[in-house]
Amino acid sequence: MKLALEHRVNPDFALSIEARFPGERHFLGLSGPSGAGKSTLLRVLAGLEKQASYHCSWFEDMPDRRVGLVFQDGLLFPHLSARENLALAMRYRKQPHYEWQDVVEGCQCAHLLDKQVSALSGGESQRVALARALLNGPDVLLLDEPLSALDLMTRHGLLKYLQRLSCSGLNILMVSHDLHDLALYCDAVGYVKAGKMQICDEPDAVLNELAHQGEYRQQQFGLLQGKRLDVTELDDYGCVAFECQGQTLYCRTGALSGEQVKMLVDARDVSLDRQPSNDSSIVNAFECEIVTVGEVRSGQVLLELARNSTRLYSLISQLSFERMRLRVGETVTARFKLR
Amino acid sequence: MDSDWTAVLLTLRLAATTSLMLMLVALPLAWWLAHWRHPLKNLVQSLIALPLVLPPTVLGFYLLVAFSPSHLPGQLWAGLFDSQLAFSFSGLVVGSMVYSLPFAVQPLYTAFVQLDYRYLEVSKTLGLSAFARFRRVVVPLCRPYFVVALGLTFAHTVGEFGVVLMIGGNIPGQTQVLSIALYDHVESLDYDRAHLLAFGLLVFSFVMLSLLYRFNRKGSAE
Repeated sequence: MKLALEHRVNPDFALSIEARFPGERHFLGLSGPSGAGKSTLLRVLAGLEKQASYHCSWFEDMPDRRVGLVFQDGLLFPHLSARENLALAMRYRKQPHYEWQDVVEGCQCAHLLDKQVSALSGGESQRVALARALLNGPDVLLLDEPLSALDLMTRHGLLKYLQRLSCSGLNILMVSHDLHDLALYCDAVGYVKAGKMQICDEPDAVLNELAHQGEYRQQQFGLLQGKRLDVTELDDYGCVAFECQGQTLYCRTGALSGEQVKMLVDARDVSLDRQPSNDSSIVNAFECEIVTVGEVRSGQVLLELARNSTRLYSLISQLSFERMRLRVGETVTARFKLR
Repeated sequence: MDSDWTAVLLTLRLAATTSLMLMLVALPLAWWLAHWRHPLKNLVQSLIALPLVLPPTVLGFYLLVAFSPSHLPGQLWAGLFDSQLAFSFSGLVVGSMVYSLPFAVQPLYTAFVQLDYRYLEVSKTLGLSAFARFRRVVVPLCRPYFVVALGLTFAHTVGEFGVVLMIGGNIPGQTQVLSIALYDHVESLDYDRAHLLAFGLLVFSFVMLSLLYRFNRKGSAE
């Protein structure tokens, strides 16, 4: 997807975006610090900023497009019940893309429909607002922190639903501060800072680039992905196996998209040793090479590990680092729990 | 008594006509004012609020002058409708609209200033037309203010005296509204009928205000 956008928000801040998301992707993510211009970007694409000029390849050959926008606080009409909010969206829908029942179940809001909007919690409002936008039959769906108030399980459930919708052809651009949600579920991710698109690439490349730039150091994640392996006996354990750079890994909460499995590994969860195998209870072992050693901060060292193009990070204590005498170029086994 | 009933009916007709017509004028005016950013905005707001502080006879006097066929408003009216505004029911409606303008505009202005316009943005992305956005979002969200504007305009028109006396005189069946009929009874020392009309107006005003307060409390509780 190609995106070019110019908008002067005020004398001190202008949004100037020139981005090309790789490939023909349907589910794109956008992250960045507060005040970077992410929400304004969505408002421009939704046609709510009259002064802005923009071009988006998604909108080509779509003069009569319907662009849905879901705000962070839902903005359900307070004079209507949840059901009436959805019915209003249905009444003015452009095309009957989605069935009421599918959307209500996908957004997990069937039990909320007869409630007054004022009785809904923040997370419940967000789910109903998402359902309202979908029932309106959008060609493009813009989401501004739409799941920020949801618990982890529900959030992942909705992200999987959005991923399914994108696989069936719905174009989605989602803004989130949670870069890891975006990395797991989106096909490509952009990082906006001070009104400019800093990075725009595959999720793992964005995570790696941000690590090099020093962003998110305390919460550095590596993104491991690969093809799902058909190991039926694992079903009883509630986990799946996948092949990543010739090695078998196991995960539980990874995002499944067809045969592709993604797994985020927190640098704090990765321990290192020099044994190819041991009797540890830690299931995953990933043989890789130390590529860079970060500066010592607060008694901790961040190591960047790599196997071919796959990157992984390990945040270990300075004490361990010096005791083990780890060096750049050395091959180690990174161990992390099945999550 | 028949003349009193005529005055009651005329007053109700005047108040209803004025309220409905004033809403048509006040709605776009209040919307425009709420969005207008200009150094002259204070002056325009003061002009609209002027009937709140101006003695009704002063307003009535200027309206009477404007309604005369020798001045532009009177000439335009005569050219369009082949009748004169002064001492006519139409003149009373126009005068009452000017006199009650702030009572209609102010609540609507407050409504449009406090309205969260993001609801309109959401409804726009849902494909609602401008009219549908107004009908399905603005009106329900601002309903208490609409009712207050309508109620105050109605009650204020029912109770007006100075302006209607100046521009309408005291023609039974045409311009003699309740307050003027009451004044007429006092002048002719018919205190029984004066008491009846005065008490009727008092009860009406009290009931009207009570209903407005009750409605607003309900609106805010929702």
